[in-house]
Amino acid sequence: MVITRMEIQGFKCWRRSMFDFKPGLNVVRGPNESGKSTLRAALMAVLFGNPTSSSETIQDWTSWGKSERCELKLEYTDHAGRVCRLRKDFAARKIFLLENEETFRTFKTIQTKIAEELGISTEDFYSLCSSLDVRSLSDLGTVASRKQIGKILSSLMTGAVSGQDVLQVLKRLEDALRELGKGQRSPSKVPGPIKATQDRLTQLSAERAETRRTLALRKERLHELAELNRVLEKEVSHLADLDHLIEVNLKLAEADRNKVLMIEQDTRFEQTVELRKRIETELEELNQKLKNEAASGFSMEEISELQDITGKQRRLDERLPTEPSRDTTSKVLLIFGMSVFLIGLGLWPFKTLMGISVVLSSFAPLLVGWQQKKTSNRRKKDFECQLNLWHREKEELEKRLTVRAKVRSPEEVFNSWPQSQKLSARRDALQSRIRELEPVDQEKWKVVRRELRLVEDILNDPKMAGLRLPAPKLAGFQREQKDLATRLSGWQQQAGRLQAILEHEQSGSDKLSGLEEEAAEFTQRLAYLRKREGICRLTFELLDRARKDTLNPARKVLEEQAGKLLHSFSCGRYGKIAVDDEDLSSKILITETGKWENPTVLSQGTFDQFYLGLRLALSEVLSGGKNPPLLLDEPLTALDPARQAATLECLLRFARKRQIIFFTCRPEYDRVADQIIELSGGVIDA
Amino acid sequence: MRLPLKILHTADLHLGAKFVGLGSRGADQRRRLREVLGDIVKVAGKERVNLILFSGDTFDSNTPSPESVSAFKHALVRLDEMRIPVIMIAGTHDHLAENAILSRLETETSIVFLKPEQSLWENAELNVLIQGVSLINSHQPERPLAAWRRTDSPFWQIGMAHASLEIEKKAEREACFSPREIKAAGLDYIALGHWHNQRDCSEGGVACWYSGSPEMIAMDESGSGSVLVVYLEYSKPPVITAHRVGKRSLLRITAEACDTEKTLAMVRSQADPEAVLELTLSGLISPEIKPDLEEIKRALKDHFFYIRLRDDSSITLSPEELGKYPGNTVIGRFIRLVQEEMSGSDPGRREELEQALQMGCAMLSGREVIPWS
Repeated sequence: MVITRMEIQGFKCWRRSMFDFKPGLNVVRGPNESGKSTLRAALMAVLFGNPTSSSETIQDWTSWGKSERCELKLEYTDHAGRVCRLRKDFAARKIFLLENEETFRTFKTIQTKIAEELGISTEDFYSLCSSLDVRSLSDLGTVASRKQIGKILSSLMTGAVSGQDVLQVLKRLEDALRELGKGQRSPSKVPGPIKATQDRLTQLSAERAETRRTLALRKERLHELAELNRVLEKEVSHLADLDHLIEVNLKLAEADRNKVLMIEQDTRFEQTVELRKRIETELEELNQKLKNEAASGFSMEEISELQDITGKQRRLDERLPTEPSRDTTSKVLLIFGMSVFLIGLGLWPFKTLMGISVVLSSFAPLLVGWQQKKTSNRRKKDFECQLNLWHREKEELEKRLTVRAKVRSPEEVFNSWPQSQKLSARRDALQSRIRELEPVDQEKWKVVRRELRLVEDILNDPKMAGLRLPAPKLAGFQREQKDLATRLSGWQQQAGRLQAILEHEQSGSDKLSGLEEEAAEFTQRLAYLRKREGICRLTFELLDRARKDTLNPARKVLEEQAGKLLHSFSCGRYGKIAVDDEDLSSKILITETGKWENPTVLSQGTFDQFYLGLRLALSEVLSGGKNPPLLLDEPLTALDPARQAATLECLLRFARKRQIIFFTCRPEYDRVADQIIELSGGVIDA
Repeated sequence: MRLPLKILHTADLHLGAKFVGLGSRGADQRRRLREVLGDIVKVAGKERVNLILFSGDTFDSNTPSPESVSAFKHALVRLDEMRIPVIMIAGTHDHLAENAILSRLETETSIVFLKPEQSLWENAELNVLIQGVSLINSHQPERPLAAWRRTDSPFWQIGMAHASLEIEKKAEREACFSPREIKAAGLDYIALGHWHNQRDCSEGGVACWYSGSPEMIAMDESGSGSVLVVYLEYSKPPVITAHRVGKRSLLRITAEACDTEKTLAMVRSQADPEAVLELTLSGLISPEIKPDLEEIKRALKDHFFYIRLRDDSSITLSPEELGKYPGNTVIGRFIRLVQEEMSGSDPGRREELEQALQMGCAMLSGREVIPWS
């Protein structure tokens, strides 16, 4: 890091100031109380101060007479040559770092970046080795920080080829191992890959166990269902046997009842048929008798009518028309007249007159004869007409009689009428009886007969008969059948429920397969990670061994470098330093005596040189060669001119590779300075 | 004189199988097994086969998932529509047991399940008589073909068994048969199951085949992925044709480990999203260029169904190369230390040391190596 500019606002005596620095030796010169130490403190504050903190130290930085907290800005060039701008606004409690167009705003990130740049992580360490004043040269800080540095020194190795690279690599490997194993020993919010994989495997194992349980349960259910189905099958068969037995017995009982009914019906049919046959026979006989009777078939009205007709016939016979007497008179007259006429005609040619008289005289007998004849004819016609009417009536009556008397003579009819009537009455009675008789439906009778036969077949079936049970036993079986049916219904419902569960629930076999596949994948991954962890560890161990084999311990480097510096500072009088890395207690080899002595035996000037060299060496070792800027506040005041020149010479060599900000009140350093910043006394408001 | 007969023969579908080697792709492969049923039905329809034979291990267990059962039932419905009878026997995985899946299917569907109490199926319409042996457990009956003899039936006589050919008997207790038994059976065709790779075991004029799994079940089954269509015609030898139904294939590639980019380009040129890639890296390489297998896997992930990588390459350090790393440098000392450790160490330790060497060298040369991924 090379500081190029520092801007201060409201820091102790500095109200608003800006200082430009250059690489190499920057001499900040001013009289006492001109603000040199304040500037050094401001530089420390901008590098390590936390603007968000409310500590009293920050309050102490407040500008005299002001209550507002300070604002500090630092511009520097990093190792890569990039310009970085750091701003710490203690008033607004804000922090800001612009690095290569990238902005950072969190204290932790920014301090990490500054620590990386300086190579020194804490203010204590920086104060110990890079920010020195003559008063604190021999003060190597607190016991705790000394021990901490001791630990660092004992763990640090440096000085060989790739020395720094290997440290970084080891750090990265260590980080990687830490990251890999994170959460294994103690709980972590974000566990490392191994722990995460283990956790997932544990989770998978639990899920698998659960799925296996589900599967086992399903298997049990399947088994239960199969068992239930087996029982059901057996009991259904038993129930079917019972049903059959009971059905047969019920059928037999019904057949018994039906047989009685059928026999009753059959007997009834038979009796009716016999009765009917008897009546019919009698009727036939009666009919036969009646047929022989002349009045058979005659009703009372017909008999009356017959009697009426015979009466009428008798009366008609009595009324037979008499034939008129023969008309001989007209015949005589006519014959006479004709004879006269013919005589007249015969006479006509001879005796006309006579003829005519004769003819004319013939007309009278002819006319009378003709009249007589006409009357006679009319009488005859009337008689014939009456006779015809009589005959017709007679014929009519005869016809009616014939019809009514049905060929029989009315006498016969009238004679047989009483017997016939008696027979008819009997017949009517029989007919009425036969009508009253229920007609025999032959089809129905056939059905009855057939059913009777069927019933008899059933009853006579040896198979069925063999199953006939006495009533109490049948009742027992019926109870058993009822109980079994109830039980079966329960089992069937249970089987149905099981079936429904089995159909609806996921079998879990695919899920188990998926889980096992995932578990295999994670087991593989865990093995891979463990292997990688092993390889990381192995790489770390081998690299560390290689590093130890090739690199020197930092303590040795520190002793060497501090020794070299002391040798230069003391103009070759002292050159060997021994440092204890437990508490940083140091010893110096007194060349004259050849003994290792505590530096307190040295003069104040040599003592200061001893610790300056030790601190500069520490700075180099602790910063890992990052060469942070050195802030030196009058470190050479106790030296004689020769040692002062030698030390200055040494510092100038230092300044070639690292920036030195040298605070002094003396002007003699101006000549070697790369940049001189002159401070005037009092409160500065630049 | 018998009517010609066309049969589709398949076996070892292993519906619902676990694929622990495939990790999260296992579920995809299980889904594929269900899909392959549809492809089998398509072949049956296209080829107008008269019947389908499933020679065991149709299901991977007797408690398959509802998805597997429903996929199978769906296929059966389609075969029923085409009036193609389905004849099945139990294998080692779906063997006869209480509540065996095939017994359940037999009551619920139209399949013909040949089992000890009903080991024959005759169909006069098709002129075929099939005898099948279902396994009652993983190894019994031990010699399923022993009792088979040609009967007097005038029909085509076919056998179904799930067993191993004795010459390659692997397990101690396993149902198996010998070529002599094939010959003695004298059947027209024997449909075998159990081996997942297709194989002709015909002997003494008896056609006898393993159909192989219709889809790849394990990595080393390049002979799987087909079904057999067998055409039997009177007085002619059987005509057996394989029909590809499986999608998965195995692509084995061996490449030089020294040039990862070249290897990736070469493998990518053979990309097949349905294939399982088995990539072996070989050759001698220097410690700094040892390939990162996880990175290769990531780079090829989208080009294949599943990738299995093996690194057979080994780190070599010739004296010239070693000279580039002097012993007084950290890297030089590190390499020498690893070499010392390697000498006389077992292969496992050697592999670890090689990887440590690779990691250390890479990190020392400034490469960012994430020790896990």
